[in-house]
Amino acid sequence: MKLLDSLTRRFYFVTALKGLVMTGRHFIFNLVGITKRHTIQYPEQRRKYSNRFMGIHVLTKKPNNEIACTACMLCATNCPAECIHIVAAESPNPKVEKYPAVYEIDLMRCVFCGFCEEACPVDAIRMGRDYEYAELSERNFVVGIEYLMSRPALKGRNVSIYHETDKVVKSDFQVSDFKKAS
Amino acid sequence: MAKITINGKEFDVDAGKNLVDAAEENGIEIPHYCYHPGLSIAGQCRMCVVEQEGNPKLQIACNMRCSEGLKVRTDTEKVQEAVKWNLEFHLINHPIDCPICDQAGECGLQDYYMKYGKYQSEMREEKVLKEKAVDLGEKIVLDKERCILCGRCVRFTQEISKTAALGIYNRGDRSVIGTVNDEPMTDNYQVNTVDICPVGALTSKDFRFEQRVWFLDEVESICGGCSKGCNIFVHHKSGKHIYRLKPRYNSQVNEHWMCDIGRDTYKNSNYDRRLTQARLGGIEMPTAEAIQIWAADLKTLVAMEQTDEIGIWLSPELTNEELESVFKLFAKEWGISKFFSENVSAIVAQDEAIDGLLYRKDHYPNSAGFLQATKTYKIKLDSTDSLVDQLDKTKIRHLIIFGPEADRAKTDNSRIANALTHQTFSVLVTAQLSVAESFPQALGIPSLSHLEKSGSLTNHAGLTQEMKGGLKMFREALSTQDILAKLEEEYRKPLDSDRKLEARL
Ligand code: SF4
Ligand code: SF4
Ligand code: SF4
Ligand code: SF4
Ligand code: FES
Repeated sequence: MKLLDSLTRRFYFVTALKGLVMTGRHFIFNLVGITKRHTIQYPEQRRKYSNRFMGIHVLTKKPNNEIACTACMLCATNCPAECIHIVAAESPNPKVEKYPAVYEIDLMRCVFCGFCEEACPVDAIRMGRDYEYAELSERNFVVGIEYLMSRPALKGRNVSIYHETDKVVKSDFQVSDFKKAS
Repeated sequence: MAKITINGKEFDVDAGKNLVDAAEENGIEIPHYCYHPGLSIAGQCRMCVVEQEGNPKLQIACNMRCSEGLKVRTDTEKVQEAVKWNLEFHLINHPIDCPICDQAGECGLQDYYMKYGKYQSEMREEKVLKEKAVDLGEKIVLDKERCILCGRCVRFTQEISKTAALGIYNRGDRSVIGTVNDEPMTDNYQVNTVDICPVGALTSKDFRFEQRVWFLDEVESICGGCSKGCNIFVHHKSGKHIYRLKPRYNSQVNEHWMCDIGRDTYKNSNYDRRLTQARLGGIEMPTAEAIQIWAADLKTLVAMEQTDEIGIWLSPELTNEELESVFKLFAKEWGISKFFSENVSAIVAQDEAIDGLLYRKDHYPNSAGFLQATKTYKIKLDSTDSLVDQLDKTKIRHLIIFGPEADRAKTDNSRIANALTHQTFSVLVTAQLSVAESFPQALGIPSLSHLEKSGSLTNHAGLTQEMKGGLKMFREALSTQDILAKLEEEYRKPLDSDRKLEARL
């Protein structure tokens, strides 16, 4: 027993060599493209996510660039992570009664379940497709109306479906149309 | 007693009781809008229909008194059909703007729609549009579209507040609620109409858009606005912020109502108006440290047998239990005899209902209990005048003020504060930041505000009512009893110098 033990210890480099061969094989196969690569050239290359992917929220707006949200707080009620903070107030527009003076989502707490989107009665909040966000401070993950409604990535396409036409919106409207666009 | 039968089940109820109430007491809900137990019967909404045995037509329950042998059914198809269609008619011109309506969550239309609604509306007509967000004065906003014209608010202003401020104007589907010549409402009982409005037509300006009602929790309490002692609910969100007060039914005191001045008192309990940290001369410190300082000063005076240089000013809004612990500790234990207050007997003697309804002249909630407690503990009360006089003559070197919460004794406060010199060590136990600020030189110790307290109050009629407490806005504030217990504990600890002495012996 002792003898075997000392032998394997002396010839450890055999196992090490085996390992090296394995690494080398993967390296060469990947290099010449025999096996499928799992990594991509981010950020030049991007992954294609499903249309149903739920990323950072989008607050929609009316055609006149006013926020579509009525500050009903149903999203905050439905949110399991309790990460939506709304302060309602009288709207400066006399034709609108209530609007959110503050609408904040704590992205660190959000679990991206989409319950807020489902709860909203006026299509004022949608799950967007952005998944890239990195910040240096935790505080920066609390995003407000400015970011949720007018960040450049949205390219101003986030108009609420309730305001695009005067007619009642049919139920088979594809919200994903919007998502493809962004 | 009368035996009545509802849905085939027999119940014993008081003869002459309203059928809607009798049914509710026995766990059977009869939907209703216009009926309110505190108001006359209008029979306007027809939601409360029931089928009475031997009567071919449906009858309204709100206009039925319980009498022996009354037999009604609420569960027949005929009744259910009637209620369903009735509700449909109520909703014909209703804007259904629940998302922006403050009533959502406690709205009669929502509740009954979920239970009895038709779900598929058959109305094709355009809705009649009416004015929204109409200003009815300082307290109330009216949404004419949301109104279902039940007339409760109109009857309230006619029968209870007797201002006859509101009325129904125009006819048919153009009918709206309004005031005469659109004049604002001015009386002290307006917000009761908001409470009784079954829908979101009348909403309170103070609560407008502040919070959705389903986030609110409630605790029971007694209003501290005057000597009436109205029973109330305190609506707060997770003990962090109080949003509103609502009346709680008590047949002996306030029935279903409370006044608007009382409603506003909740603001004094919220964080922004509170003394949140113990402080001395503008420097904040932990409460325990403040109590140590206090105890040390008391101890030297008691040790030198100079208890007559200690004065205590009490506000007649302390609860009976607080008074008891104050008198027990200071008068019984330490033999302090100088107690001051406002002229409470005069206040009580002049007390009367200002407008013949609820609000009273005596703005302290426990004056009667205060007088009772001084009698029980044989305390001789002196007036603020005498305190100021004694302060001037530096006869008092240690003054303890159990401060009024709502800045009620403003004149007294400033007089005492002006008379205070550096010769007097003063301690102020209060919940209120503004009161603490009027005594900049005093050692301020944060106590519980009125709505957080548990204890009892005796109202003008001698009725002692319990406050359950159960609310605490922040950790630093302690009840008066706790503060006194800590003081006593500190007091019993030997002084540092004594301790050293003991160690040497
Ligand atoms: S996605 Fe889910 S967790 Fe995130 S804000 Fe919406 S409801 Fe809350
Ligand atoms: S986003 Fe939608 S659900 Fe949330 S408060 Fe605004 S309107 Fe209501
Ligand atoms: S305002 Fe409210 S209480 Fe008054 S009639 Fe209309 S629904 Fe009834
Ligand atoms: S009458 Fe007095 S006790 Fe009643 S609500 Fe008004 S202030 Fe409060
Ligand atoms: S409650 Fe009986 S008719 Fe309105």
